[in-house]
Amino acid sequence: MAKKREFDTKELMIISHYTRETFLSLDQVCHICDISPEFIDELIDQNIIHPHENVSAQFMFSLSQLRRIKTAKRLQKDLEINLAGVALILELLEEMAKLREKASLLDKYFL
Amino acid sequence: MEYKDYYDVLGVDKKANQAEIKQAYRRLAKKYHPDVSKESNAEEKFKEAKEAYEVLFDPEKRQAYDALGSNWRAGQEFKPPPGWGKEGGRTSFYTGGNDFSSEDLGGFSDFFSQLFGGRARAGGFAERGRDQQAKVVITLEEAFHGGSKMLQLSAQPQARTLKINIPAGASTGQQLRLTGQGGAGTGGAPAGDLYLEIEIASHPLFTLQGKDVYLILPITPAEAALGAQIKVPTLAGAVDLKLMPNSQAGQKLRLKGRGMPDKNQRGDQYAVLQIVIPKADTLEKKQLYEQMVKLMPFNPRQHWVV
Repeated sequence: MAKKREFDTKELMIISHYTRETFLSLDQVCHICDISPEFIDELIDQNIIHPHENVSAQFMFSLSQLRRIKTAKRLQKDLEINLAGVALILELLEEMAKLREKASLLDKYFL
Repeated sequence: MEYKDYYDVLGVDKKANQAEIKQAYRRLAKKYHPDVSKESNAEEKFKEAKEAYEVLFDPEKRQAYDALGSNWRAGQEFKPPPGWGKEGGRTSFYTGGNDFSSEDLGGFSDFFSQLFGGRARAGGFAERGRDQQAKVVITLEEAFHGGSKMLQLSAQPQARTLKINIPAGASTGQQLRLTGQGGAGTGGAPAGDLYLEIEIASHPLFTLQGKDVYLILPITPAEAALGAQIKVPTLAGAVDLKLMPNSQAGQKLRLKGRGMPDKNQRGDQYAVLQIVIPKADTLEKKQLYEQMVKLMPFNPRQHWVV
């Protein structure tokens, strides 16, 4: 029986678009990240995320913000740093990404 | 299942105290945390350190681990000693401890789960599958033109092919969420989600700076001095660039709107001039350079105070 199932297993094709901008609600984000709304408030206080608000003044989170929330939570927990430290690290990481871009251009310029 | 030498992972002595274990973990965590580290095997190293710390910092877990004896080697095939009375993948001798959140960076090893249980292995109750994160590496051309990319997902109950449509102007870090395509749930619970992140691979010719595309353009001294019409590659094909007379190395010339597509404003392309000098490898060529010195004496370092 188990063997037969293997043969039944056809390859599924799933098509997905990067073009569709996905927004998540506060509830969804809290559920996905296993965090409290208070944690989100702290992240906003620390300028770590800037959620959009919809017409009824409810938060809407983009996927890149969701990613920042996850990163912030991990850094806080794994490296035992407070959110002010997390905010600073995230800023520095962005700065480093820009500098890396510049450095890769310079690498091409130098003979 | 392989035996893990947690002391070796943290690089501490078997007699190390809690402070030393904490210190060792912190050092490794800073070095290998995947959100910060650029080390190639950062995630794996970090997980190992975290798991080792989880066991060795907790006196109860450490005692249970030490009780396995010291004859084991890392990587050795490990079989739990008889009398451990496993049920549903859980060992019965150890039941306390933390609840591991599935939001952590992946799970712990099979070895850990055998010894200490842990949610991922615990059967019998329903649990939503783990969320997963993967990178989709695309070329700069793919990012510029858009297109579709096929991905194989094999580590699932069912093999699947994902066809990801990438928009023109895609950028590194862009996220896509595929609900229900992550890790499988247990006990009838739904699967987790799959997050895909775009990464644009570096290109031999072009370099991205935000939405702008930079190209190093090698030119001859004659072209720089006299001006020229030069065919320059862009991501949308070659264009003619008018090089003004008396151009200098390091100057950047803008090709407006030839950068990455963007919903607000399209990026530009910049050609950065790099003058390449022909070698003075014959008598005639040497004389020509000498003639230049006579005809055009100039000192590019004249403002230096040396």
